[in-house]
Amino acid sequence: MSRRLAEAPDPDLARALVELGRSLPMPAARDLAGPVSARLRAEGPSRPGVVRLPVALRPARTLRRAAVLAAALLVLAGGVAVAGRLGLPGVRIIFSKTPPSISPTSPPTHASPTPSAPGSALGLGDPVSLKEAQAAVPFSVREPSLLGLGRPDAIYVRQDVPGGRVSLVYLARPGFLAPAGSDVALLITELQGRTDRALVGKMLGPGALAEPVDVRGDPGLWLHGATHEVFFLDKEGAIVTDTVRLAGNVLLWRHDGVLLRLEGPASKAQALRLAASIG
Amino acid sequence: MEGRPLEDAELVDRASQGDLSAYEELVRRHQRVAVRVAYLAGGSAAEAEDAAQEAFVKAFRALPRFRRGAPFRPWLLAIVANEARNRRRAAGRRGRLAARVAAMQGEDRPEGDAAPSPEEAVLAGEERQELMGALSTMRLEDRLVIAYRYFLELPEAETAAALGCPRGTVKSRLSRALGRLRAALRDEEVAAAGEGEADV
Repeated sequence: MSRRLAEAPDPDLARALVELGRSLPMPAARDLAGPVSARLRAEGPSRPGVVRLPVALRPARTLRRAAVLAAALLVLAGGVAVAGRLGLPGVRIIFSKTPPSISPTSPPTHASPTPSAPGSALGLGDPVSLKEAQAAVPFSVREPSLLGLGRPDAIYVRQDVPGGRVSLVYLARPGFLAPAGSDVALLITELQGRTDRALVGKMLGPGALAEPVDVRGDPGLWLHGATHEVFFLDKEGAIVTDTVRLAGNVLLWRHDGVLLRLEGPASKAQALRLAASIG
Repeated sequence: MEGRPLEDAELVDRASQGDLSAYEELVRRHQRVAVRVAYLAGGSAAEAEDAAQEAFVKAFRALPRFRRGAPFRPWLLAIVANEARNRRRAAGRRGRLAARVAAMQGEDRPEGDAAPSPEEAVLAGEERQELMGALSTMRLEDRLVIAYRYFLELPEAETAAALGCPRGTVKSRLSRALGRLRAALRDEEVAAAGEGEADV
């Protein structure tokens, strides 16, 4: 018997091995899509992740290769120059031919751990009190004091970048409307970026614009016209990819070494008023 | 999604832009082979699913490193095998092919297979036992190339990815492994004959 197999031609031996393989008990594959998705959602639904710098630069190169519109390239150059002039040397604007298809607010297929917390579907981390948020991060958590805005409806902390990030969620209220399909009107994200190496990139679709602005003396960028994807460099030197949660307008600025991002303002004027009210 | 099933490449593009439903579809497509590779590479049925799940999470995070246009499955299987290997080493397992010969006889026949005649069943059972016996004496590296190629019927590119070796070396590795398998089968026969004499 063994002799026969040992001396069998290759195809026969191969066939015997295939048959053996088919008869072997193998672990059954249960559904992994649910658990995998739940984990990714818990850690942020739209964050492909922290990757090491040399490798992570590749997609940026790929994106740049995709930037084929001459006009966009001109604006790209303008954006970089603008960033430099603003004292945000790391800011990089990446234009792509087509807007990224991002679905940050697509309804989760699995129960969120806190379905009742406003903005819990945005993957912002754990809902906390302001006090807890402050205790969780090494920088001062700031909130706008604009009249009529009031306090955030929910605060989240996520430890996905060194130092962590705090997100303030504001539901729709008079003067602050939520986009269609969402009840969140404003989202403010605060995280610690290393000043000299901060790299912030925005991937803008056609028609999107980046405009330098001054936020009470701090350099900033007003981005409008498309859904955005942000890349920033954390202080460990890793690129973090992050999706802008609320499609629309974004104000990005730095204050006291903290990168702030305001999503969802109705207008540049409102964005600047909100930003200026952040102490 | 659209009427036609999306290609892996399209799903990868969407997933890398944060579309989790696209990634879920990728997971569903490849979870079966992922768990099997994790099982073979890690040597533990109990941990195979955990290892595969972890690998899928890591693969998502590593999507920025994925070379666009490359096939997704070999890349994924490399991550799966690596995760399972690391777990095996951490647990100090030898990486056995965990299936027991005894457990294989007459069990786990794929559904829909015509029932073999008693003679066929006996022959097939003996053949499998001998193969398993011979394989169990071989080095893990040899067993794995055989297992990926024949048990899981992976193509060469995926076998290479799971082994973590260049694609061009799969053929020669497999050829050497089959040579050693033949030698092990002959040894087995000699041993069996020896036992037989002793018993008499």
